[in-house]
Amino acid sequence: MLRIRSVRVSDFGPFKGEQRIDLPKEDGVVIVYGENMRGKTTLLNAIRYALFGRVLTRGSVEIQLHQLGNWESAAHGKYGFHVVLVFEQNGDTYELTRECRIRPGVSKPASNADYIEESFLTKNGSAMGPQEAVLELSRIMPETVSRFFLFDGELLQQYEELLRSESEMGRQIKEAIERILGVPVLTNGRADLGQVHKQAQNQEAKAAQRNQKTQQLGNLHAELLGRREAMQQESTRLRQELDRLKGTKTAKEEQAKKQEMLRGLLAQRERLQEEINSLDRKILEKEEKRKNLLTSSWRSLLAPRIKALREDVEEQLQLLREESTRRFVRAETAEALRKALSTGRCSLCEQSISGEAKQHLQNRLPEFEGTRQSVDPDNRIPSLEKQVSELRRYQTDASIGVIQEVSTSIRDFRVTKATSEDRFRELKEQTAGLDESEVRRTYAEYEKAVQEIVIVENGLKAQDAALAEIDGNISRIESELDKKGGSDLQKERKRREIAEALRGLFEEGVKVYRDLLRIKVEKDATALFLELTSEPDYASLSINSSYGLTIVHNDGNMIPVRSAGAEHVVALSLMGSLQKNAPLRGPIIMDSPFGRLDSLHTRRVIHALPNMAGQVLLFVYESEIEPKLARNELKGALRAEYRIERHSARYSKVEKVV
Amino acid sequence: MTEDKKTIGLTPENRSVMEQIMEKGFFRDQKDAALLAMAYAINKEVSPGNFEGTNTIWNVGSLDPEGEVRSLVGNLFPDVNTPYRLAEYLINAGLALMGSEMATDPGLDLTDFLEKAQASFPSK
Amino acid sequence: MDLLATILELRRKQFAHLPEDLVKDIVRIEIDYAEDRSEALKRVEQALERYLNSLPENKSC
Repeated sequence: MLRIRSVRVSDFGPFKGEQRIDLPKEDGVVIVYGENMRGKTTLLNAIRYALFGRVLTRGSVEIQLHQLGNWESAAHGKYGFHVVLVFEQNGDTYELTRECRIRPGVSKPASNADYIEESFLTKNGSAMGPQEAVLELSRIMPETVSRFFLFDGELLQQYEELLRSESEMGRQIKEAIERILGVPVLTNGRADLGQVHKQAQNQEAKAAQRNQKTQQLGNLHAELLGRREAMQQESTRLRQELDRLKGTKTAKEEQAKKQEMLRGLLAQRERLQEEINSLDRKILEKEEKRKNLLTSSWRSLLAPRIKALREDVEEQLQLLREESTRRFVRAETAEALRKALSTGRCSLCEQSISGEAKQHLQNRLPEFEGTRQSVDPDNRIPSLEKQVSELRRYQTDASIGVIQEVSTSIRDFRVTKATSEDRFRELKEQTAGLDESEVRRTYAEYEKAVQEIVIVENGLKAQDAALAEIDGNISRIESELDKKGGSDLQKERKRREIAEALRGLFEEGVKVYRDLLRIKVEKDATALFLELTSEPDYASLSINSSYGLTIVHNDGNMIPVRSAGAEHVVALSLMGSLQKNAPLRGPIIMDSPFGRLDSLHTRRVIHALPNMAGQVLLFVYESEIEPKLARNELKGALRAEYRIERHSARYSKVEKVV
Repeated sequence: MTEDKKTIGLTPENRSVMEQIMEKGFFRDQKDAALLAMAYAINKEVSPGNFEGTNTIWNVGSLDPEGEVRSLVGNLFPDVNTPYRLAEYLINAGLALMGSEMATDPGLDLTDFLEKAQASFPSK
Repeated sequence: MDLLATILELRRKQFAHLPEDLVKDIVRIEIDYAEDRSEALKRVEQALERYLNSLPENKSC
């Protein structure tokens, strides 16, 4: 197992002068605390630089070497940097130095070209040659698998790609996983033995051609082998073409999906525009209606007052009229009485009136006299009638209530319009630059790729069938050669047979090993996952053919979608499982991996770290993990703590915490 | 006897209030706003008074083509012999009141204002 | 998960006629020369030749 003993940096990033981190011999965890921009990622990059000569920033973008030197030192005319990594593997101690120094003659470097880069490796104190060193390092820590040893939270997020079939990144990660698990040992062995078998067949064919007994068979054999070689090359070409077409199809599919989405947005945008136009019309209509209503609104405001006044005047008029009628009747009655008294006869029945009756009438007469005065000396009745008539004219249909209703409608329409306009603006931005013809082109290219895939697949099927046939023929020839060739071709035959059998062994080995690995990786990842997760309803992880892991609920259902935090927990479970199952073992070096995790999961991950790898080096900031919490969770497994202290904006210092 | 007015005018301040009201876009015509202001002043039972310095906006023929305003003011205020003079006063008083409402609440919606303006008139 | 153990177990069960040492050699070569494919192929060929030459019927007198 690879075990790092120390990392020494000199004028690397913010680390001015010589600084170091020592890691203990024993298994355990070392934590380096540092606030943002103090150099935590730089230290992880120092290890990456020493091993692979490259430094990556967030988003896995490579940083130019001439940007890596310490700025404060550079300000004093000191350029360049170096990193020394001391590590052990299988009892051997290695010291790897990689440095970048300014090229002679350059006073102020401006690019990589102004630097010379050198590296050297010693093994147990003895220097190794450059080629030997390169091979040794690639054996100890191949760059393709470095992602499982050196990573940050952003890299953990990428493991989600393993759940997406035909994703390019997913394919790359799967290859890296199989690399670390040792699968290429078997797949390369299969390929090499396939080559060896072919060569053995060719050798046998040549030997048979040289032998008189078997010359004809030998010629046929050679010819068939030649044809098969050509067909296999064609098969390989077709497979590569198929891969390319599938890649195109996936890319066009994704493009079309995005465009489909955009097309949907475009349609939405058009609908919204119509809606906004309709609302504008409605608002205008209502505003016109309101203006019309407001023309009479002053009447509505005064309506109660006018009504009250009118009622008052009507009452006065009523009273005057009633009094007038009453007086008229009384006056007529007085006249009739006077006439009866003077004529001695009733004007109604023409009968004579007795003396007694006359006296009675005489007594009653004063009651009815004196009522001739006008009840309306000022002749108010006509003017009152005129006033009533005028006041009646002030009718209005425009009640304030109706105006308010119309105003509420207008307000509601305006609110709806504002919401629609907001959404419209959003959609306009999203659909800016959408080209309809581009959409059509994408579909056409997708269709073309699909059709071509069918053609190539059919071609491959036919090719495979033809290859199977020719293999059959070759086998028959070889059987014949075995019989006829006898001891003359024994060695060649033996070579071919063993090569074929070895190839078969490795072919079978690939399948068996992959299956075993999946079972083991799934089992170990599940065990770690259940330690890390706080969700009691999660039962296990389920692995797919690309080593993608899906969470399985207690009820047996897969949980297809998960949060970034859950993704990190699953990814860490995979890491830990790979460490357990990989022939290649080494330290886990993590840079701020807890960003997406809540405090409960962070605690669980810290607690599980000693189970994930023998040696763990963590770069974190204090609000990510409190030192006290880390000490409590790790106890004796915490071997050392360091802190990166700020001396200035361009100068950080690594201090060991005692 | 004082002669009644043949033109109706607004003070410069009330002219400015009228412009503010018209900006809100509720009225088709300044005339409509003026009559509403007048009704508002009547409902608020403003005390009699006088506005100096008015500038003519309408002649009475355009503000009151049917004589409705004159008849109404005459009916509501029978003691007044100069209904148009009174109408001018009431218009300016109403606008002054509306102006002060808008100053207190710049976002005042006309319909809220109308609700406020409706006087509860005691019925017999 | 031991790769070598897996392949040797498979040899024992299904390819018992293949020599164990040769299989071990090939696995070792593929591990050591994972990054140098042409060297790996050359050494596999050599390993097979060495084995063939070690067979009694192929030894020259």
